[in-house]
Amino acid sequence: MGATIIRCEGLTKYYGRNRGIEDLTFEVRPGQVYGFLGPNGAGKTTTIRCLLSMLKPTRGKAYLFDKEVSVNGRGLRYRIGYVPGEVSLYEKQSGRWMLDYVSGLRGGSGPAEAELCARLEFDPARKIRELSKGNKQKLALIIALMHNPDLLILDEPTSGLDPLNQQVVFDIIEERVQAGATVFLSSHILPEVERVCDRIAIIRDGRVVAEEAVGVLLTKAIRTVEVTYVEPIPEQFIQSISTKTAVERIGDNVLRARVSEDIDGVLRQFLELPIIDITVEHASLEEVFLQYYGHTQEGALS
Amino acid sequence: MNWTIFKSSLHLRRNTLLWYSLGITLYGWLIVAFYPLIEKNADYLDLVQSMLTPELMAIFGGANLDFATIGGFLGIEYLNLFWIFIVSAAIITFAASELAGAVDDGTMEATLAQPASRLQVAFVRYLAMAAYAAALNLVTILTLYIPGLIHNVDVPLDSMLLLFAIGWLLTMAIGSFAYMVSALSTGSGRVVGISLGTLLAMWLADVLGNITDKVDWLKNISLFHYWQPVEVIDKLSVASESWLVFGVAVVLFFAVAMWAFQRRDVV
Repeated sequence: MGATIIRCEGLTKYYGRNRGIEDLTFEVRPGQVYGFLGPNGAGKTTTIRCLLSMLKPTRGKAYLFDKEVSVNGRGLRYRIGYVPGEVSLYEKQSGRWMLDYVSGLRGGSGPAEAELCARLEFDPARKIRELSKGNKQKLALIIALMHNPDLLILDEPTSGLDPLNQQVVFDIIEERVQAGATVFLSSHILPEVERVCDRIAIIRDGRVVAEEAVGVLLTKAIRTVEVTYVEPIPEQFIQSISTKTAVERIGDNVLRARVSEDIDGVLRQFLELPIIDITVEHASLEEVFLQYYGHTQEGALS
Repeated sequence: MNWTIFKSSLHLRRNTLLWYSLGITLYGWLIVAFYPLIEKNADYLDLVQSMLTPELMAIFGGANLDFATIGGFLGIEYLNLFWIFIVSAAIITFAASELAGAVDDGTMEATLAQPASRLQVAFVRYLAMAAYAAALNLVTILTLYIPGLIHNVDVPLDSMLLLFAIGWLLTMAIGSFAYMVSALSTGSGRVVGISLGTLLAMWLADVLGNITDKVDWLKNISLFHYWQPVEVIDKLSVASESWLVFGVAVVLFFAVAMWAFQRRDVV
């Protein structure tokens, strides 16, 4: 077995009788950007909290850098930057105080702090309670990134950020990966994952139901394609397309289709007639689940 | 010793420490300033005291208290009851915030995501609580001693130093209990409720044990029974069992708190 950055072996967590996660087994290799997807309540945050020793697993083991987290937690956390799903900070203090507090716990100030504050346009002088959700998220990101950790564990890292700042965050993440960092990214926003991840696990009801390279997952993802034609659409044209994909007529000139595979081929068919407009929307993650993994809920795929 | 955790704990509670200190100062100063008037009317007070029922005297710390001595007066009016509840409120709030409150508001997650072990966090925050308790007790004796000098009331310095020591240990016994509850449960409100409720039950046990011989044993399970500030001030003495009971309570509750906090989930 080669070196791993994250390894979970049968990781299980119950809150009393309530299931948190069940028999989770996966590993993340050095330099990977690993997406951890699922709807709210699927068990993403529980998994992360087990990795950080916040939660004691009911069964199974979690390893970071090939060391068991329950034994080596403190030392391992020197190498980890973490952005929680719900950012909770000392509200009455300033951003400066919070940055100094974390630096004190880590034994020195973060070498990338000033650069991150500048790039994210964050003013650390302000009290945390006066910050918007987006600015609190920026502070959480600076805290996680400023010591240049080897592993970034990011739980919904762009929550509350505007598109411009989301772009900056993903630029930073990509730079860190190029510099050798590994990223574990939990999200339920498919485009976000699509952009940065090279491998993905889908968690549902506490279990991993699929684990694939991102390219493979995207070919399976459902898209809704809506095309507006110049002229009313002939029935024969619809029938010819319907042999390959489910097509719905919305009006005389508009067709809508849900496409899961071979989007290139389907679009070529649609474009055989002159069009005015075309929109392609990603399906929600829940729709992806229903389309491809609904039948595998009871057991994990390898 | 992680000074970042220690300093941040005290920094975050500096305003509450200030307010409790202000309360203690005003109360203590007022009582000492009032004492010369009481002393001049000792005969009248003896008469008043003889009219008070044993039950009423028990509420303020026992039937054998004497208004006419500085220790007796401070005990009845301040240290036997009101001071304990002021200091308890302060230390219980501190203990509740440091573990259960921090878990509840998410700041514990922010701390434990950094390279700090649970044992380290819980231990250093406990030390910060000990410093907080020392500050409260220091303010207590200073605001009795200094007004004593100003108002010509003989508040002996050696008695004050002994009062500081035993008062700090009592505060830590109460604080350690709250810290243990804080390590075991969620929500600072619950910790405050359980701790103050337990303290109230102990006070009632002490009162009942002093009132009736049938349940005389009850007072032995109460921390209030071992807190005798009158003896400290007037006779410069502390019963060895007081040191022992408070000391054992501190060690026991502290040990359980450390053990429990390492095993709990932080969510």
